Amino acid sequence: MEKRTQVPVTLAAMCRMDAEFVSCLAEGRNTRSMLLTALEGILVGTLAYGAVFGYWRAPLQAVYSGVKLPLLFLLVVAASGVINTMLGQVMGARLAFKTVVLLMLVGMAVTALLLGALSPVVWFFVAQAPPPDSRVLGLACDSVEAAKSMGVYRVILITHVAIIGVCGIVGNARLFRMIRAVTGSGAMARRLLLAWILVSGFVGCELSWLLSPYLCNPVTPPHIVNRHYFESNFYEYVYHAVQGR
Amino acid sequence: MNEIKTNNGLEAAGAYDRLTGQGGTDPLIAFEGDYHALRGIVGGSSIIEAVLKHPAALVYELTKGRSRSVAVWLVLVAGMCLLAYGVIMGSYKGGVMYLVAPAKMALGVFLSSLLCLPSLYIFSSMGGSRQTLSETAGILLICQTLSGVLLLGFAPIAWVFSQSTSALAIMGFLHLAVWLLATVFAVRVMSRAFEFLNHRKMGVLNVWAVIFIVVTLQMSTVLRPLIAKPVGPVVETEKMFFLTHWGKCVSD
Repeated sequence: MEKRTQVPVTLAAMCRMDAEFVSCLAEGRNTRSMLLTALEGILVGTLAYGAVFGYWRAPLQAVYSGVKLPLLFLLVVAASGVINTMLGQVMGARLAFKTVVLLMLVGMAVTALLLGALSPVVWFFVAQAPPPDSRVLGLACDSVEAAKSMGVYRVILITHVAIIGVCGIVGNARLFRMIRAVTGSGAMARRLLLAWILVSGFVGCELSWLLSPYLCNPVTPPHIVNRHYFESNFYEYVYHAVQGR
Repeated sequence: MNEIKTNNGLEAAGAYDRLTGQGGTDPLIAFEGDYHALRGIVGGSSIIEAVLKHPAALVYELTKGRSRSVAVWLVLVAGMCLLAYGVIMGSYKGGVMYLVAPAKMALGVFLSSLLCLPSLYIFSSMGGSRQTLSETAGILLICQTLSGVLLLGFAPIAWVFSQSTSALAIMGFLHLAVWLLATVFAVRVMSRAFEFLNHRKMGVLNVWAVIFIVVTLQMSTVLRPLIAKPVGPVVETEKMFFLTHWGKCVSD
C-alpha cells in the first residue's frame, strides 16, 4: 500500500478546514500533528482573550484570567471526553476516544482562535471604558457609591459573555461539519453535536463557575478563584437566584 | 484575455467543496483580466492609477512579484493621501489643527488597521483564504490606500464645506460620511481580491468590515478632537463611547 505523505497541520489549515485536513481527521491520520496544532490554537487564543477579559479590573486579574481561560477549555474536554465517546458509541457513530477528543479539541481551537483574533479589538473598547473606582473596594455591590463602577462592570461582563457565546457558536458550527465529514451522515452529526453540547455545556457551566471570577467586580480585590463557590454549584446558585434568595 | 492559473489552492478548494457541499465562484469578478504584473516602474502615479483601475495588478505584485517595493509605495501613497485629507479637515478651524488633524488622521487609520489585522487574517482563513499573514496585510494595505485616494478625491468638496459651514456637528458628519463611502468602496475591492485569489465567495469579510468600521469610529473618538481646536491637551483624556461623543456634539 502506498504510504501517504504526512502533511504538517497548521492553524490556518485548521481554520480553513482544508480538504487534506478533513480527510486526515476522517481517516485518523496525522493525529499527533492535529492534536498539537489544536492545543496550540487553544492556548494562544484563550490566553490572549483571557488577559483581555480581566484587563479592565486590574493587570493582575488579566494574568489570572489569562491562565484560567485555557484551563477551562481543556478541563471541559477532559471532563466530557469519555462520556461523549460513550454517547457516540451508543448512538451508532462508533468513534474512537482519540477521534472524539480530537474533534472536541479542534472545535475548541476554532473558538479560541476567533477569540484570540478579536482580543485586540475587544481590548481597545475595554480600554475606553471608565476604570473601576478604587474607593469602592470593600463596599457592598448594591451601595450607592459603587453604582457607577458596578454598572460599567456589568456592561463589560455581558459584552465578554456575548462575544464568547458568538465565537462558541462558530466553533460548534465547525465541529458539526467535522463530525459530518467523519461520520458521513448529517443526521448523525446533528444528534451527536446536540448530545455533546448538552454534556459539555452542563459541565462547562459548573467548571466556569468554579474557576470564576474572570473579570472580578470592582468591590472585590482581584483574586484567582473564590473558595465560596466550591461550597455549592452553579445550578444551585441559579435556582436560589430565581427564588430570590 | 489572461488565463487564470490553477494552483493547489484551487484543487483543494474543489475537494473542500465536494467534501462539504459548499463553494461556487462569481464569474463576473472583475479581477480576472488584470491579474498580471504592473507595467513599467513602480512609483506614486502608477500606484494611484493601479489602485483605482487595476487593483488586481497590485494584488499580483504583493503575492507574486515586487512585493516589497509595492508595499513601500502603498504605505507612502496612503500616508500622503491621509495627511492631505487631514489638512483639509484642519482647515475648518485652522491654526494648530493644520498639523494636528493630519497626524491624527494617519495615526487613527494605521492603528485601526493594526488592531483589526489579526481578525482579518483569522476571519478570511475561516472563509477559506490561503493567504499568509503578510499577504493578508498587503491586501489590507491596498484597501487603505484606495480609501485614502478616494478621500483625496473628495477633499475639494470637503474643503468647500469647511469654509462655508459653522456647525461643528455638520462638518463632523460630512467627514464621517465621506470616510464611510471611501471605506465601503475599498472594502469591496479587498473582498474581491480575496474571492479572486481563493475562488470562493467570502461573506465573512462583511462581518469584518463592520468590526473595522466600529473600531475606526471609536478610534476617532479616542483621538478627538479631529476638527475642533483642542481646549486642553491635544488628545482628550476623558474616556467615552463614540455614540456618547456624537450625542454630546449634536446637543452642543
